[in-house]
Amino acid sequence: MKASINEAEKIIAVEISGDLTSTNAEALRQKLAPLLAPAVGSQPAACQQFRLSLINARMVDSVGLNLIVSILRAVQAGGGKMQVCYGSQNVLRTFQFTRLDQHIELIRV
Amino acid sequence: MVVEDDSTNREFLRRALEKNGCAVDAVEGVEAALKMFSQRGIQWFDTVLTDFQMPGQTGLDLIEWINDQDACLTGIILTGESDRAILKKSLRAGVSVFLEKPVNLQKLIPALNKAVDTTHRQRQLAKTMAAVKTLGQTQRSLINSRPVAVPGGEAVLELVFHPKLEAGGDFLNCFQPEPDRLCCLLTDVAGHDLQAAYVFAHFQGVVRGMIERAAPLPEIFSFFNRFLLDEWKRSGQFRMMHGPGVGTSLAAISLLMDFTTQTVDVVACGMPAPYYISTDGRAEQIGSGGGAPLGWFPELELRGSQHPFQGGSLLFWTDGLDDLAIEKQLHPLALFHAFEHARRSGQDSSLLEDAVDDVLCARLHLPGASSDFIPFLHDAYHGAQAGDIDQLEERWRRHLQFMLPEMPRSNRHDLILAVREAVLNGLKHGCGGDPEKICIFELAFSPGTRIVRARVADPGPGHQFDFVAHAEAAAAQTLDEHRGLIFIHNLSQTVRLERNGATVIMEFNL
Repeated sequence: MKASINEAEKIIAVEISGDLTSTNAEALRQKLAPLLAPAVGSQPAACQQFRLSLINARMVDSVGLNLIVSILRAVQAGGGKMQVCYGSQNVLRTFQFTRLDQHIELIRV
Repeated sequence: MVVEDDSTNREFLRRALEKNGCAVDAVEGVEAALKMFSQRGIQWFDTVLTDFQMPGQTGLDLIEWINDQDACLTGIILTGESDRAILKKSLRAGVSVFLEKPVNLQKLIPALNKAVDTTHRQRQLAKTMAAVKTLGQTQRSLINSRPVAVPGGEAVLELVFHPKLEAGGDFLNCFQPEPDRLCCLLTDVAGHDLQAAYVFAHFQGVVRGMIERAAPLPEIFSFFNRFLLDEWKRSGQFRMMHGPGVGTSLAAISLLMDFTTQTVDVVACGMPAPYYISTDGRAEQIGSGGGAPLGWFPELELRGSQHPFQGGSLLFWTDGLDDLAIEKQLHPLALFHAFEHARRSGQDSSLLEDAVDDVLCARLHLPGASSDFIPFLHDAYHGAQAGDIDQLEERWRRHLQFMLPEMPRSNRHDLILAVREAVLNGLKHGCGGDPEKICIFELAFSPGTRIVRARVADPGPGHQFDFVAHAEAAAAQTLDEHRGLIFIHNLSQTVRLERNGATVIMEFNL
């Protein structure tokens, strides 16, 4: 996972190196926790935009999707928005049939 | 036979050889030699001693003719020319010895004795090879598919047999002890020799006789185990072939079907457990396989078991298939169907060439309905295997690519993702993570409808969950619970739940 933070524009960008599944979701959750901490509680406006890159992912399973939902809720709680970049049609369909495309801006890369 | 155009030399050789205890026919040239062969028959002679240079055809021509007729018969060429090229050519033609003239009896007699011994040895070997070939042909004709009339219709045996050598150590015999009963006896005797055939013949005779006298299968197996350990091991024949302390072993599985009660009794000893394929195409392993073969230990842990059947078919095979499946990292059912498919197309699967042991796979079609679905993966995962899900996913992918290489990648993705969700659900919730609990996973394919079916069955109580209502709420309120069920229902063409949802059956278009 690669992460970068633009504090001036309050943008967090995270790139996942492969699939997002039950195998790596919990480890990623722990890595992301410090990044998301300012977006909840006392500093709700810390993250205006959270960009998650899944361009290398062929598969996102339900556990991976739950992680995305928890990020989404944290970002929305702070008034921010979430974007997901994808490269695979399979990943896009996963967001569509779970209707998360109604909450997240999906960008084809 | 002595072939020499010079009458003095011919008589000298005849007398010298007769003095050495040989019966000799001495002739003056190749033409006379051929006439002599025709009179007595080539098998009458133990070796041929021939001059090289003779009027008309040479001694080498004669040896080449002999090689065409009986490659076991040796020859010795006498020549005054020490031409290396001739020597090389004559060695290619199968000459045992090449002796220079004038003949030195001290060299000739040992060379002659050696040539006679070689002829005898080669003829014995050829006889043995012919016997083994006949055995192999007999074995193939015995191991053959044929319909058997039983109550309710016909039971048809279909099989794939691939011995590594002319005759294999795998044998199959089916017989009807009574009109409503059918016994299939599959054995794998250690070795690929004549002894294996004798041991099998004796075993099937014992089984047949004892079944006809209503002896239970475990008792029959125990009886033969004692025979191998006591009588066979004590026999001179055994000691001659193996020396002390080494036993002949026999792995066997017996399936005794009763078509009145619609049950099959299974006993397996050192053999893979069979599968019953039900009328809806589900695989179920019946009986317990593995264990020691007969002839290893005095105490046998034999567990006979009885299973109901109604139509469908029974699949069983020798461990050669299991060994090959391990090497190819495929389930034996996948290989079974690949071999069966190849055989029905009139050819052998090239995968069989990689087998290191005999492979014998048998399917017994039972009277009644059968399914179009072909199960090609049937796994049992324990409750603590959720952490292995990536390896399991790789295994499913490998089986799909092997069985259905034409399946589009996106369809394969949907199937694997839905199965991943269902299996994880079964392991975490159905088994509760308990390593003692087992979740069954099966993949099957219907060539007629082009549908792939995945079945996941866990031992849990199932659930009462309205996933449709939940899907709405999960989307609207970004809930993060039960999303796996949404995956399962959206990625598959149809989903069927049994046992209150503890069994999930998903179907996917190819």
